[in-house]
Amino acid sequence: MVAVGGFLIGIILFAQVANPVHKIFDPLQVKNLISVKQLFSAKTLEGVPAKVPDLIITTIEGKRFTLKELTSRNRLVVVNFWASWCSPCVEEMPYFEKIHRDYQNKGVVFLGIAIKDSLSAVGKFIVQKEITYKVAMDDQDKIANAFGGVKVLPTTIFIDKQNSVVKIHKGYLSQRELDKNLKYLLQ
Amino acid sequence: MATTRPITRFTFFMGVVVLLLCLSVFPSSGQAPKDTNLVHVEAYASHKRVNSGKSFHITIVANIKQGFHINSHKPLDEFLLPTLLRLNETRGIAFGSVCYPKPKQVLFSFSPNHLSVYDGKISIFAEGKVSKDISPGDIKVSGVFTYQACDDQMCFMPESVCFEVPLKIVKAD
Repeated sequence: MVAVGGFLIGIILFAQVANPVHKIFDPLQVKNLISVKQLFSAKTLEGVPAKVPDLIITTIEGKRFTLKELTSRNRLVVVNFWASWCSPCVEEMPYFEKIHRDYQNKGVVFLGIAIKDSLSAVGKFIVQKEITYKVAMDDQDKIANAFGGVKVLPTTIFIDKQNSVVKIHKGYLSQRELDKNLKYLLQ
Repeated sequence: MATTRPITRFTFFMGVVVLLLCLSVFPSSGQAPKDTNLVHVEAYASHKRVNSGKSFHITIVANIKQGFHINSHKPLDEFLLPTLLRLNETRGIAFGSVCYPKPKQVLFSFSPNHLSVYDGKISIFAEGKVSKDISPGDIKVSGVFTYQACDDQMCFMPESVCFEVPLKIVKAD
């Protein structure tokens, strides 16, 4: 019992250290474990900010918008860092496209950010794979750096309507895992 | 009236330690390896001293960390980045074709298609021939070895390793 008490007190201390603007998590009202999971998923241990940076994104078609405009208009934004030379990235994209088409009227938006890649290869790839969700180039790693740096591909970041990073997934995201994440984050 | 045992400092401390240990292994859905030195590259010349008019080899040895692979010289997909050895032009040296090892065709969990890759320890070499007219002396053979590594779940940024190998050119007997 005392170890559990120490554990819960540790959670409170960690919450304050990780993000002081968050309210104190009351251990006596453990009702919504989703809040705890969201807090841990948005940890800054790897430098990813808990809140979405205000970035201007330009798609390869030339459309401009800010990331906050995208999050404010949707329930969930899925930002996927990828490259045409990354095999796991290209394998997961067709399913992202399917989900994009199925969910775009339900407030879920995909945004692909190509890094360390060429415009010609990216353009050729998305035409070949019939990708219709927004894709932008990150030529100087500005977008990647705003998210704390992207060291591996694919890296998929889930952002909610409040501009909070609610989940980060590094590596191949299977259909099953994506479905599970969407079901969990959209409830 | 119920009484409660006071929480001792030691027990509280242990609770916090347990918490921190749990947090250190808390999954963030696919942890990237901390060691970014996935491929160790070394360059060698077959001889330290080469007579003018004679041949030698430049060898690149790449030691790929277990669990990782790099694309072969000729990947099966047009978008994949090949492993390449490029030797810079060196006055008085003519280089032949680069010889790459035989790749492996491997199936990974994320794809139904095989990939042509290298793993483990590989050697790539090129023959160089010293011109008969070159003056004796020290030269450096330089080049770039480029590769892009992945494991069975994720990929790492392309890398280029520059190298220089010293050679002493001596007069032919």
